[in-house]
Amino acid sequence: MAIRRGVDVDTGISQYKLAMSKAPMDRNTAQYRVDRMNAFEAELHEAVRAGAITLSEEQDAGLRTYLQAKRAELAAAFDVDLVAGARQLSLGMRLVSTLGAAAFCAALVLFFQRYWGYMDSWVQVGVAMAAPLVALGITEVLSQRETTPYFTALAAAVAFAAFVLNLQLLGLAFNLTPSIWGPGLMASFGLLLAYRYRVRLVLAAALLCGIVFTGGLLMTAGGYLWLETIGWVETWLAGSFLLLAVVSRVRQGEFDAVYRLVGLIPAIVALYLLGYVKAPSLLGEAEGVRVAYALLAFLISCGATTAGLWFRWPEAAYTGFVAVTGILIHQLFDWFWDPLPAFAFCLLVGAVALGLLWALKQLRRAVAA
Amino acid sequence: MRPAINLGLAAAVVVGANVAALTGAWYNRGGETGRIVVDQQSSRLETPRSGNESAVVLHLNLNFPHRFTARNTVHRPCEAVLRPGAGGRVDVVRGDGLTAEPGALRLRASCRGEDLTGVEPMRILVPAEMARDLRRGPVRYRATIVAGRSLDLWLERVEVLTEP
Repeated sequence: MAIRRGVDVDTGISQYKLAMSKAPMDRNTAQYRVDRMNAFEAELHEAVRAGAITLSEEQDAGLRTYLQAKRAELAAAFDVDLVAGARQLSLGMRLVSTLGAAAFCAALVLFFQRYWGYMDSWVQVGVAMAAPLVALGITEVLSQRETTPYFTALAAAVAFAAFVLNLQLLGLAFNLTPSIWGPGLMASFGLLLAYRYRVRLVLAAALLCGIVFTGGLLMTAGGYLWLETIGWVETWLAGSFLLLAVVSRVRQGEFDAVYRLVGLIPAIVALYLLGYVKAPSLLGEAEGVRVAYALLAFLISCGATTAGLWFRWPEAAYTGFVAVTGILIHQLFDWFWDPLPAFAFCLLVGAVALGLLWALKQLRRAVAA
Repeated sequence: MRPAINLGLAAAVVVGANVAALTGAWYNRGGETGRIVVDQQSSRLETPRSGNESAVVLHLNLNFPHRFTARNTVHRPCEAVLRPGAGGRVDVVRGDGLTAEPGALRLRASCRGEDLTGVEPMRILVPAEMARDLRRGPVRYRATIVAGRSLDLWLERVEVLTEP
């Protein structure tokens, strides 16, 4: 149990298994091994300094040579960060890569808006279709030439955006009826891109398309237009729960967190809208239905927080905690804003915050134990 | 799955989606063949305003594309007034060039008196359930409007009152 409950231990055990297995190593596993070597080296030096262990000069030199050679090998193969400063820079590069991807996608949309009208129909079709294929080709070339994932991630995001734009433009040009297969194809393309190039941003977008697709299928089966899935938020639940079920049965490695986030956020938002904002429900507008959804939203948020803390899934814990806080504030506002004077309401919110802090402190102690 | 297969699959998804979209566009093409495209954004059903009115007004904004693409489209409004008829029929009370068939409405090649000779007829398929519902009370259903091939028009929360 201690192993399951320790966040680093749990993640570490699986990473350790991965690192020691004969499976092809990826960047995350390589980074884990470098971190482990750094920690081992630091602790060994501490032990030697404290006199707990004695190493001969030969042993010390041999160990240093081995660790340096191994780190250099992993750095050359996977471009891992060898020191903390490099890791911070990597985080910055990831941010820049995301911003760059957003900028390129915006440029693509604006380009089509600017020149679309001047193109002949067949040129329009050619350009719209070529854009994702060219971006896909560039992504492939970058992935083979670059050891860092940032350029590849940027190109993959642009390829996905180009494909979405491609389908939208064809629909506009030919006045096509919006098809349920649109989001289905977007999800398929995004999943292929994400798994081939290990891009989380594209995976998140693809999974969201998958949720829309699943909801649309349900709406169609019920005799509704699939686009109605946007308004009937209950249909989001199917795809969201499906994602959570998938990730609980089949671990996706570095993608686990993305699956959990994309599964949890739409589910909680949908239940919140149904329970607290009175979004239209397929089950009718009875008060009991609304109360049930409100309760479910609260329970799932609490469940996400608990599971996140228990299994050391930080993204689930944060999502659940933000949701619980949001729901509490909403409910407090609903109950007490009108009957109480403003200062008393704020005092009440402050008191609830104190109560939450106390509860979290207890939880923290329990988790640490 | 081998990476090479993934890349081919990704490219196949792009090409397949485009081929499917173009095929759909081809079946809905306008120009010489004169197929009509329903403007789904602005077409709507108007519900009866009082219990004494049993008719449903169907506002269709029709696009008549001059070319294969939707460019140079001529928008023409078309109005049909429908009401439940005997034996599950849907009768057309008013409407240019409209005729009714059991369980279906057929828009003929004229609209607001303008001659649209050569334009293929557009059918509004009304499911048998809808015809039955028309005689009962408030219903929500979907009607399929066929223009050339098929286009779906969502008629949301249509409340049809039975005849007094």
